[in-house]
Amino acid sequence: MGREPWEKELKDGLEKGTEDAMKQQDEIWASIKKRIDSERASQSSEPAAVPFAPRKTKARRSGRKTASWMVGTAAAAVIVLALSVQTPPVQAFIDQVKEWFAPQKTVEQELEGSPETSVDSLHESADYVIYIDESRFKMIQGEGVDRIEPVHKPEDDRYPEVYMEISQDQEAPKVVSERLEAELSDQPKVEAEAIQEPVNGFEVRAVGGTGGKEWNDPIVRYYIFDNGQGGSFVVKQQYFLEAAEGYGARFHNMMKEFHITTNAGEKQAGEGE
Amino acid sequence: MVHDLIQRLQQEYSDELFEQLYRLYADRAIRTATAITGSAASAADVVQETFIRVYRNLGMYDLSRPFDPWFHRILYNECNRYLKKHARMVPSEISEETDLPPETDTYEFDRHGDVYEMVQRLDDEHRIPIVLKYLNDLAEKDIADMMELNVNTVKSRLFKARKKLKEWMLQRQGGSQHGT
Repeated sequence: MGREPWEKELKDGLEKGTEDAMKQQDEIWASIKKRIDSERASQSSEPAAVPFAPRKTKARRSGRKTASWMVGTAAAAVIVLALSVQTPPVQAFIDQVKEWFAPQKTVEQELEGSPETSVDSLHESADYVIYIDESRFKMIQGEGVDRIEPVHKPEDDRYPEVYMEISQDQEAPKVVSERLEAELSDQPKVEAEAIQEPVNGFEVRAVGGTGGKEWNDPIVRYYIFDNGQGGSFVVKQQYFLEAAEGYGARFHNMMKEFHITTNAGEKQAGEGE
Repeated sequence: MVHDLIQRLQQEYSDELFEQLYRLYADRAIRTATAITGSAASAADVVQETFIRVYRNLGMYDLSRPFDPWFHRILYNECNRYLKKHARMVPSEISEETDLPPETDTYEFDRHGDVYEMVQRLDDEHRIPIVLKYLNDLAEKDIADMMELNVNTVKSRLFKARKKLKEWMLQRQGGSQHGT
């Protein structure tokens, strides 16, 4: 789109007004270099130079049966739900169904407007499966809480923690979401709403710190949804403002590949009848 | 080019490569930081911090994503950090309806008639989108992402700021015409 003459004048004016500052270019570089040298010198005793540790390359495995696996996965999810409506859950059978989820699948997502493809691996827990890009994340299964966290954590302690935790609660999603919203009420910014994507349930989101003005303000996002057993799955995602479009988006997208695998869905499917 | 540079830097750091990256982005970074903070000296600090942050995080940078938004975000955050430190935090949407100087405001454009000075007269929440749009040629969506604002909020701020700037510029034009 063309600009009006006065807008051209505005652009020129901004460039002209900042021209003097450009004289500092070499001076600024000298300061940057000095600081980097100093940081590298202090890190040299450490086994790995963290800032430039080569990134683990993406596990792009060509020749995988991506399309068929994706179809298989979708079919498995449908079967899990369908079976749960028709018959009481049989653990052995459910386990068999779990096997129908592809061990790996190609996930395409858009981050900051750019398409990204990763080969995500299946992780199974007692009542669900989820796909994780293992080049970026690892899963730590604990008692009652499974935690997904970055493989490469920033060592700089100015970065708030980044993780996603999956647990279950005996109470219904709405009750849990109201409770969590109340618990977060001391945070500068709290929002709660019913959602249909990436899961059908509730989202409670809080921004800590300055409430969204600082790069490192912590963000906590909960997804609360029916676990099919009268209770809820509670997924807690924590990251920080600057990482909202990175980790935040990845966690959000990861939930699109979350599948309940027990008799979960019985209630949900039943309600739909 | 940037992609290759970063890839090589991720494999092995060298001052030479990092300086190449710096030279590619220094111009817009220094100009942007100057126009946002309103001072060349502050801009030097902001740009320095920005590149230090880039250095520290380049290992974690995802090569499959475009570098510019990532860089701009860091730069904006550093500018904001500076403004906050100097009690000039950019208001979020909560305090969106900050008014611009009233319509009747006039400035002595004979002395302060420079366009850059006019931009500096805007408050932070209106000046920053203008700087990002006209100095960096960023799209409204990119500005919104960077400032963590709704696109419509950015559009609204740009609209108000443009209106005011245009008014001042016409005023100056009229003034100088009368003066000659």
